Amino acid sequence: MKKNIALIWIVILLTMVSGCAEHFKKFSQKIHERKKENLVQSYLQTGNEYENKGNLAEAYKQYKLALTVSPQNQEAVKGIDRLEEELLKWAEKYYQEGMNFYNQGKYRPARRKFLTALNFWPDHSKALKMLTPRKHIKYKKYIEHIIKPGESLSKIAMIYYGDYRKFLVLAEYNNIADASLTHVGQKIRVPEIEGVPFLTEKQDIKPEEARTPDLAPLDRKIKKEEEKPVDEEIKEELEETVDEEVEEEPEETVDKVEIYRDQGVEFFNQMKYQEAITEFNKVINANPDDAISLEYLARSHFQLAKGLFEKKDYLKAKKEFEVSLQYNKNCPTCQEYIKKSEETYMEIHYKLGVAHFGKEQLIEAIMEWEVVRAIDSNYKEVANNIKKAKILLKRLEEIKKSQKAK
Amino acid sequence: MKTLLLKKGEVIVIPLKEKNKGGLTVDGFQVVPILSYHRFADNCDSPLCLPANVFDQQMKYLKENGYRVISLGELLEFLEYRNSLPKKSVVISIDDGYRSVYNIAWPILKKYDFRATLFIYTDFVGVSKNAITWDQLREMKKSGFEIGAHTMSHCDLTRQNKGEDTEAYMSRIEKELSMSKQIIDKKLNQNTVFLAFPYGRYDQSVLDMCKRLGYKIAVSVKRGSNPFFADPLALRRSQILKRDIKSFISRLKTFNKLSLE
Repeated sequence: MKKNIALIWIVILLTMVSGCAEHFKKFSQKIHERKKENLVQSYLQTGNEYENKGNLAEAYKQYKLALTVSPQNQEAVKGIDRLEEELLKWAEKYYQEGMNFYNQGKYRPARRKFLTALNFWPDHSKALKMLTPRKHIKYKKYIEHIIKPGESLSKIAMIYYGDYRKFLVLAEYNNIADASLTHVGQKIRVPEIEGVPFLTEKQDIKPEEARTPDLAPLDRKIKKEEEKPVDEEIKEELEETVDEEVEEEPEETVDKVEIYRDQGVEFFNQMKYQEAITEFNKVINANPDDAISLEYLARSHFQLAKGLFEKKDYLKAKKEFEVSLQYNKNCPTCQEYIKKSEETYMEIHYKLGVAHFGKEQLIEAIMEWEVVRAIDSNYKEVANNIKKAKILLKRLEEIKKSQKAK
Repeated sequence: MKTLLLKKGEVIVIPLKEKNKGGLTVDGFQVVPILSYHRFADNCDSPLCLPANVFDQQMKYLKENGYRVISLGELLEFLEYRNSLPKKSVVISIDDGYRSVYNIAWPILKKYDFRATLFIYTDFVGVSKNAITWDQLREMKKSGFEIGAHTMSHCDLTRQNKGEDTEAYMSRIEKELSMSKQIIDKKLNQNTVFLAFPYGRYDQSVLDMCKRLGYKIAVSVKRGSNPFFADPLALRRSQILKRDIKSFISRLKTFNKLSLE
């Protein structure tokens, strides 16, 4: 009986616990749903606010977020449908405005319009394409042209290419942000385009030099052409853009070659000659006539050579003195040291050869003398000694052979 | 730095599609600075060399002010309009392959959990105690560093030597660009697609060649930051030559104001 009562109690208890768990689960689900709903509402509200302010792109993003939380939310769906059409329309409008500017050679306002189009509709492929042309046209040579009164970039394009539309090439090549704003006396470069021969006589054609082309030119130093008034609407647009856009940073004025030279000098002063040579070589790679670096290279190699000479590494020392001499032809000390290094080196090896010979170490003796002969075949008795040693060696080998045969 | 704290049970949205790939807003657009370093030492004077404590101070500034150090690979996706980047993104690059990158800069970068891109010229690797070795480069690559090319001999790619005809010049610079890539590819078992022009110098022929040889990003030393529409083969880069923090901060421009309304 007691057992039955206990069993009943257990069953009741289990039912209560599972009921509570079920209840708790439902309760937390409810809270979760409420939180989701709150999030959706907050996105919708922010979206509405943006839409009312006319910031359609941001409003669209908010509706999209609302839809991520609640895919069926009708308000969000309607908002998106409404805005998609509107955003595309605006993007297209700005793209077209951008194209108008671009075709007039007004790159900066054009760029702004394309960016605005993309801000309205991030997947506007045509606007994106205009912003990222990334074509590397090969220009090999150019002619310098000074703009005369009455000349515009399109007229110059007509003169050289026979095609006035190529004024865009001139504007891009010369980093001119607005092709209509050139001035008399301005020097421009007319590049020769591959496959488009110049119409004029090929005079003063210069090879393309190191320059950093900018496919979105932003030159601000353009003076306005006095005799050609700028269209009022365009003028307004330009002024507006100039006011709003943050000034581009000035060009990097620090010459990288110079900093390598400075580093070389610092290493030289610290007596780190090998390191100094590495830096001065970088300078010479870029400016082969850099007198300071050439002088330092001569001095660095000289110091390096002297160090090697003191360490009795005469052959390496000789080579370093020779390099130093290449950089500074007028270096009698270098020549003296080269001679001294060579003589000392030969003397040492000649003597080593003699010592080996005395100990009947013929192979070693020949090797030492060969080192000497490679530098100077007429040095002392070296040629004769080698000859003698080789004959002796041959005889010895013959004796060995005959002994073996016996 | 603002940290986002999430509570248990809170509902958050994770967008599946990358939003704002170009970092555009009505107020302007995102730009990414690439910082350029060379040598490091405990003490040094030349602008090419940065004392360790100054470098540490600069990295600390980045960390404490919410900058996100990204890789050139990530920047490439941004430039290809494929991915968005954290708002204050910045790339760290170190040129030439001095040993001090391994000995001095790396421990500091590790301290802040930053990675960098190294541009090495292959003739210099392992030649002296002053130069980084292939083993050291492998070790750094393993920990997330990127290794880019810087030609073989650190030559000026835009300079035609005296007495060298155009054909010989073009073939020489092609060798400089292709061989350095091949050597790094082989030594580090990678496809090298990043390049730094020695002295920051390039012209249209060089750009054309880089594209043909498979380089995807090439950096100059033209100061400034890069928007998504910058040419990936002619990126701007700011050299860190001065030591004052004010000058360093001025190189960290991450947004270009321009009304796009």
